[in-house]
Amino acid sequence: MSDAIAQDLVERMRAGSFEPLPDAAFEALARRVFAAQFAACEPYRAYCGRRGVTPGTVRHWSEIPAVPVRAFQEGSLSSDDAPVVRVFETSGTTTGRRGRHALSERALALYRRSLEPSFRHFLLPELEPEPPGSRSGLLPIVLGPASAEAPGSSLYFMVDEVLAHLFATPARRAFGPGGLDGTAWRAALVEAESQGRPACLLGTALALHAALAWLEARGERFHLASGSRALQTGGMKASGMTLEPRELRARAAEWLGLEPAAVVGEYGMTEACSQFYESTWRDAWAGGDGCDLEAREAEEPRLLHGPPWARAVVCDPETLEPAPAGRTGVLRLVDLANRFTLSFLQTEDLAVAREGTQGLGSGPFVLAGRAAAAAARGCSLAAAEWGALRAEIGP
Amino acid sequence: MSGAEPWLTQPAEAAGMAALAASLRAAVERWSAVPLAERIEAVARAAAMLGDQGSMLRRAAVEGFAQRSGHSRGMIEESLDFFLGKLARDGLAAEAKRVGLEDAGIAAPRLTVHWLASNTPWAGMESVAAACLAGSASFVKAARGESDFAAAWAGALAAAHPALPGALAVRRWEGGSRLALEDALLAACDALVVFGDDRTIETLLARVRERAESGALRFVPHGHRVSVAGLGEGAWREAPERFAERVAYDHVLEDQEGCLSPRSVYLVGAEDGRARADAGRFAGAVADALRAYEQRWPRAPIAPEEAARVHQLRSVVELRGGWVAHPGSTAWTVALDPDPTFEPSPAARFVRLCRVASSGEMARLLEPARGRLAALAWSDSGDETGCLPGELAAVAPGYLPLAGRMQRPPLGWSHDGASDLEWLLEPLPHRSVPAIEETP
Repeated sequence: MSDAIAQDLVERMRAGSFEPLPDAAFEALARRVFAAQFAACEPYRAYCGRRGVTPGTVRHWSEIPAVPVRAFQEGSLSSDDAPVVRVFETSGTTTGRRGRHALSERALALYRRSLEPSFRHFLLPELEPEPPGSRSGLLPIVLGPASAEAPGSSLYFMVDEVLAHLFATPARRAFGPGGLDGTAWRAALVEAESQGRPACLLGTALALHAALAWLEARGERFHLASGSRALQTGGMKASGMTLEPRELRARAAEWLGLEPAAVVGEYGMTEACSQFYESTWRDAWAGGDGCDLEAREAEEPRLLHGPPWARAVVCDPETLEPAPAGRTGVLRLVDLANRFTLSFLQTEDLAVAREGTQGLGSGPFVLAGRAAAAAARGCSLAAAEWGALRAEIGP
Repeated sequence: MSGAEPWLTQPAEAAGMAALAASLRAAVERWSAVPLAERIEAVARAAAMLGDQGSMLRRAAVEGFAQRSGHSRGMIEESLDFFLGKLARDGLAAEAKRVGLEDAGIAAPRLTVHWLASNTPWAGMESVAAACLAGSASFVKAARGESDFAAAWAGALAAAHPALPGALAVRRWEGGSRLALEDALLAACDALVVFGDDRTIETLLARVRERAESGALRFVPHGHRVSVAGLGEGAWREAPERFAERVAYDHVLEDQEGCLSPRSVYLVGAEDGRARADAGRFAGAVADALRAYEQRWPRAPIAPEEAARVHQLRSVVELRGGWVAHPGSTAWTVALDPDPTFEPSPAARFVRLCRVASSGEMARLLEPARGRLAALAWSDSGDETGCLPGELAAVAPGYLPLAGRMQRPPLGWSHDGASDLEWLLEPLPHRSVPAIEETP
């Protein structure tokens, strides 16, 4: 990876520390990334130019212009001249065009490097004290397709990557052409339960919902071994149905025997290489009191934590200026692992930030909604409705 | 309002609802027997009553709606007065004649249920007026948290004729939350006029499908729609200030939340070396007009989700190399977007202007919205008479106003294919509606 910035990032990823970078260190790295992307990505340079911002005029990294995630529907936004080797695509769109995160060879390599430490830190913390290259003995059960079958999915790329590098056993895959493969799902659970072997479930929230519903419909309860856990990600809304995370966790406890801390939510987006995770499992592993978790959550929702090379800034919805901690706003991500595409991303998602120890964006946040879910206030067609219509019509 | 008024009944369970529906059906015998001229007179009298600035009903409704919706009082008053102004005696008589209300063989439902969505008071009131004119009883299922205008309008109607109080009822609850009560109501009505999203419409249709398909119930869905405006060179190049003001007005009314609110505006005309500069001049004039409207009628606060969409589209337009103007908040936006692909702009006084070379190109771009358009405005030369280019006919809905009149449909306008009154009559008269509305 013949790029000094990427090399520095990789060193930080290897270091394994998940303490937020001091603001000055993040500032220095973010400025270097901005300068490189400003120089390499012409549309971004023009965009910054219209705002009168250049690497020379920025006083703080928070002033670096963020591109709207919708811009990834417009075409390739790359800061690398090298050919694209992998394209990840978003699912929903209001224009008939999907968002495309197109990665070069070295962009993909950096993505691979970035996703493993986060997954290990939040899902497999027991591996951290082990020598590099150690693998988990958990039985992985995947509730989705293999990456080869869903080449546009960044989620299942990530899943296959962690399966290949962090687990000792090949995955049991409970997924077929029609969605959940109930037979395979039951077989995997029987295998894990009968062997007393802890399992690690991987999939979207909707996939976990479907898998639990399958058990509920048949009245089949399992009690997975202590140490079992589940990663759930993605939206909580589909087909007019809204899943409540607490309810999902309660069902996972009832039908799989998973304690609430063991169901770990992840927030990621196609346009960003880095992911944000709930720290409940790690906290419980590190000695936190997982038993009181549900009681605590009655008071406050779960927090999402990012890696040191990414920051999440909650912005005032009206002005897009950074909002005070505790206030609902629009989420802006600065993901330096996007070194070879664009790192400064204005999302459509809503969040509430907590004060960080290392300055702006260094604290965790709570996801508070998604713009795509905005309902119509009058009789006019809402964006989500238009998006669904466009999806039916096609591009 | 209290429960003492017969038109604003207290919540009832299924048995109570069935009894209420039966009472409405019985009472309408008296109302439908009233001669048409007298019915017209009563509706016109009710409109005049609510048009009185000193009316307590009016003041309470305006105040309540302003508080709940955040819309500016001035804007609400103007829309209310426009709506009431349409219900003058002569206009009502003309509409009744146009649809042949007294023709032999034309039948109206005994009981019409108006299933309203939030923030759509004018559409619901017009539907109730049509039902009264037709001699039908009305049950208004108002949206939860909002029945100001439905109740005020029912109150005015009830005061306008002694036969009306028993033939009107207004209730509010969250649709789908009281299924037994709703089923009792749906089983008793002869017409169901629904305002809402696809899901609401599909759900309700599923519950009445058998009766609707057998002809026992008239199902009138008014789903969510979008509207679009097109301007010929005679408008945006030759009279930019005048038409910028009209475009701004169309976007400002109802804070762009209505189905008649434009969500994209096409500037039609070939490139000739000056067109780019002219488009910029027009966009600037629209921004000036929006700025002035924001002073006069400040926009209602919007949800953070909608604000996020505003910022996304602004930035995307900038990335495309377009021009964007805004006041530093989301209060209004003008975006001259180089990409003319149709997509609804955020409903937040967001004027999205796109240049296209021809009306044929505009028609092609609107193809995905075919069947979802509520209004297609067209204005061209300064004489303001407009004439929809033939290329647009394929995608055109029934309502084809001029720019500046999009939110001001005349009585009898084509509301998803027929007027509110026509929708209630059996057989559906299918009368044509003027292709271009006259500018008053």
